[in-house]
Amino acid sequence: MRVELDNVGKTYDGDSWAVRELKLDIPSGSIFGLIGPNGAGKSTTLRMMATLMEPTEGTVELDGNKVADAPLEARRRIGFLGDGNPLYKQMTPAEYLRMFGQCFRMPRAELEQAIDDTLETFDLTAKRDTECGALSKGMRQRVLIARCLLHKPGLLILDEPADGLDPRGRNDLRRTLGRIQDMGVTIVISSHILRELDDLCDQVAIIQRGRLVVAGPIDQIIDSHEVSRFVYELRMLDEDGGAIERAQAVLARKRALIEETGESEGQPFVRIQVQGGEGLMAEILAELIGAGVKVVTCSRQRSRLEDVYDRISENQVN
Amino acid sequence: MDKLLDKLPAFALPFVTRSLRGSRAKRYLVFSAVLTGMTMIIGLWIALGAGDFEREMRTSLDFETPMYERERDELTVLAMDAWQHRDYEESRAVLEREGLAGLAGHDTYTSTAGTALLTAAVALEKPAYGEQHRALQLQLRTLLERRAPELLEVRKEAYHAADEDYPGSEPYYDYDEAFSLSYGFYVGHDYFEWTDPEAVARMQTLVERDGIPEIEVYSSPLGLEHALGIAGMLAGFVLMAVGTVLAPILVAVQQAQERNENTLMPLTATALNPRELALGLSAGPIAVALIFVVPQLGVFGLGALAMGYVVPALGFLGVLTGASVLLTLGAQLVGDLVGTKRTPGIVGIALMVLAVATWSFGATLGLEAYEYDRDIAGLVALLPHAGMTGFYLTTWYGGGSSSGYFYLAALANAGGCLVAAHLVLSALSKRIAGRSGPLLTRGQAVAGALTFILLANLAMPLDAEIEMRQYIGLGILSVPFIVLLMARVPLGDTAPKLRSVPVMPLLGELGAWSAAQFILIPLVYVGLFSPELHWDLEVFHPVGLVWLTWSIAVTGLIAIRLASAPNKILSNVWLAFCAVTVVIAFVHAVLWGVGEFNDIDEVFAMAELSPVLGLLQAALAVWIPISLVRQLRSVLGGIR
Repeated sequence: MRVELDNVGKTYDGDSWAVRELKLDIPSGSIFGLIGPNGAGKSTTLRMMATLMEPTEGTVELDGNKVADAPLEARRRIGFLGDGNPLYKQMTPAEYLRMFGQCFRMPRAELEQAIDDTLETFDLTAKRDTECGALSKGMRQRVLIARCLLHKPGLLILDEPADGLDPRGRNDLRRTLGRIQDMGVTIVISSHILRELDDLCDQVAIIQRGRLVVAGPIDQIIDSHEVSRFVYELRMLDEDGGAIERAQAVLARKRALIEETGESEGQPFVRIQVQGGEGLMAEILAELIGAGVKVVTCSRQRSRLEDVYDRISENQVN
Repeated sequence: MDKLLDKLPAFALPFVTRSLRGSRAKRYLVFSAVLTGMTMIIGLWIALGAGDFEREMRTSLDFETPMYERERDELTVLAMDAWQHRDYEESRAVLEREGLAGLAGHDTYTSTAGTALLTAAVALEKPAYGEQHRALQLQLRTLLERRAPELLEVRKEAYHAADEDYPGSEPYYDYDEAFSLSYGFYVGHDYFEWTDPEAVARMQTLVERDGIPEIEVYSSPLGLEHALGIAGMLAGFVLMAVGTVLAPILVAVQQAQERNENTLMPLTATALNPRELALGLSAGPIAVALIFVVPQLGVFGLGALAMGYVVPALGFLGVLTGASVLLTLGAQLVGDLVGTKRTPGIVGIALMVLAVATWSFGATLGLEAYEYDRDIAGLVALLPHAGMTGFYLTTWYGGGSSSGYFYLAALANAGGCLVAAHLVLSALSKRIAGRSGPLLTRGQAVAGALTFILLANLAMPLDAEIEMRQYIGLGILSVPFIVLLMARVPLGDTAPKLRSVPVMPLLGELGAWSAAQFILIPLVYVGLFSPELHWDLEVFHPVGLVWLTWSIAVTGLIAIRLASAPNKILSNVWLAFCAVTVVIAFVHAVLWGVGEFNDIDEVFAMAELSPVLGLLQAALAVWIPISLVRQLRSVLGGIR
């Protein structure tokens, strides 16, 4: 399902804007990340997308249809997991899913089949009749996401789904989202844990103070913020114990900033930021070899989404 | 069960399924069957049982004449068992053989016979009127000569001269003491006058039985129809308890839990709209309540049919339905409003206390209005519990209230409850949707205000003076108007500081509702119903109107302040003080309106006590509205 937000804005009091002039185009079948600090307007945006909140201005369209025209109809095609969604602890996963399936007016036979299928998809069949209160946090999160997918929506909206999960639970969530994407569902996910989204999302949007800062495929965003930033990691052989010192002596004469030195897998390494592009790096490499430093590998380090986000945030603050 | 559930509307299905999931449905059905069985068994037992407890229950429920009265009126001694019957037979044989003097025991037979014969002796002393009574007197004399000749002298024995220590005291007769001196055991004589036909009939029976009381083994005088009636009565009690206490509390607790644990939000993202969700959320607990209610309804109907009072039973069910719908949705709204801050347990306990207090007041008011006071019969228009009490009594005892107006007011209340329930449902839907804005539209608030105005006017006696109708009506309406106005204040999930509230338009709405009661109702009342009634136009005295306007405006500001933002303790204290000044201002308005105040010194009546107090009152009259507006400005983003 393709999602388009066209100049969407939301104000609660007619004065200050929680979200303003937000334009997003989320391709069908993608995993789209919405990134921003607390209070940036992520939840408001997701709630408008999920038809739970009417935009003050602008339109939200699902596959070209305005949701405001038939919000209840749109809701049948959306699975929404809000921020901090608790379960009914006394209900079993099967009972919980049945209740929500009925809330989506699913016919009985179809619903029972969907419950069986969903429990199997989410590895919950063994816990079918266990009270949700007795499940681990990761499992509960799976039940919550399963609930959102029971009625086979084309769009899954998850607001901070990794919040409060331990590393194992997060890996679990990653695998689950991967499986959902394979089913052809468009996923919109918000998080402030950027590492979660870095290698999971196809596209992201960064919003701050209710306004869109940047949006697009992650590689494109990183590339567009990579200009004049060249970071290299050099690994060396250290037979006499003075490799790093010799390298530092050479680097001190060049326009290079040492970001980190250390040892990895038994070999010393130096991470440097070169203020002059690839030509300068080639020069430095030649001098290092000339000075007797035995360079084994030289690899360029790409920025992560988190680095880009930090940089953008700094710019915003400045 | 699944087939039954499939017939439910889509909005109720998820919540009813949740409430009845697993083995719950079976458990509830078993409990309900047990409760219904107990209702029937207890009904049969109380109606037909011959034990002391059952008899006392029947007597206290007014289904049976007290045993003493029955023995006296029928001159029949009731033995509780075969042994007692045998003892009484022995006493009867002695009485037949030796007369009253032969009886020395203290059993019921002896005292019944003694009391009847002593009363006959008293009857001989009282002046008889007419041939029939004099003939009966002669028969009684003959009877006493044979059964208790000593009693012919009882007047002489009973005479006590005036007490010399107390000048002016009269001589008097103590027949009971004279009896005990003659026979060695005590009985008290019954009231007797020849003008009392019941007392004369008892003497006739005594003559016909030749002074010998009959003996019967006691059995309940009630039959199967009364057994069904008592079972129905108990079922009616269960219906009231479930409909007005249990179901509302269950619904409120669940709603509070949904808010408290934030489980409501996911439901709003489903294919059910907010109104369906509101109804669905109440449907779950109501389904549980219905499992208990439906069989009890059957028992209730059967009992009403058996007792022959079907129409009052239908009236009872109508009033109960109106009250249950309002109380359930009202409690749900309360649970929704306070659920985020208070635990469901606290909500449940608070509502239980409130329900008990309301029932105590309502039942007392209902009984008073039903049995005694025609002037307060209309008050049942204000409280469903009162009307329910009256219809309940009529269903089981027939007869009815001393005033037919009672039933009219009770049924009007049921209609009002349904209108109010509709408004509550709208407000609840708005809350669940979480959209910003007021809980009620202007039109809905007007509909609510008109309903309450109608009920408030029904609550007052039909012949109430118009001025009383104006002022007491406004007094009664102050609470519902405040609630309606609070529901008109725009709310939302933003901080109050980010909200803007249209204070002046809201005060205008409150003013319009109040004017409807103060001006429109009297005009309708005078114009349509009682053109000959005098309407004293002094109620429109400018000073009185100023005070009235002031009290309405300040009431409105207090309501808006309460609804628009949370209060600190000091603000609450100040608001409470302002509320007290509203009452004082209203009293000023009334006194100016009815002509009690008419002097310039009485514009600020506190000046009568002290000039300083008068100045203080004048200063407060200016400062209070200003302070409330300032408060609103400080806690809100803006006011219009």
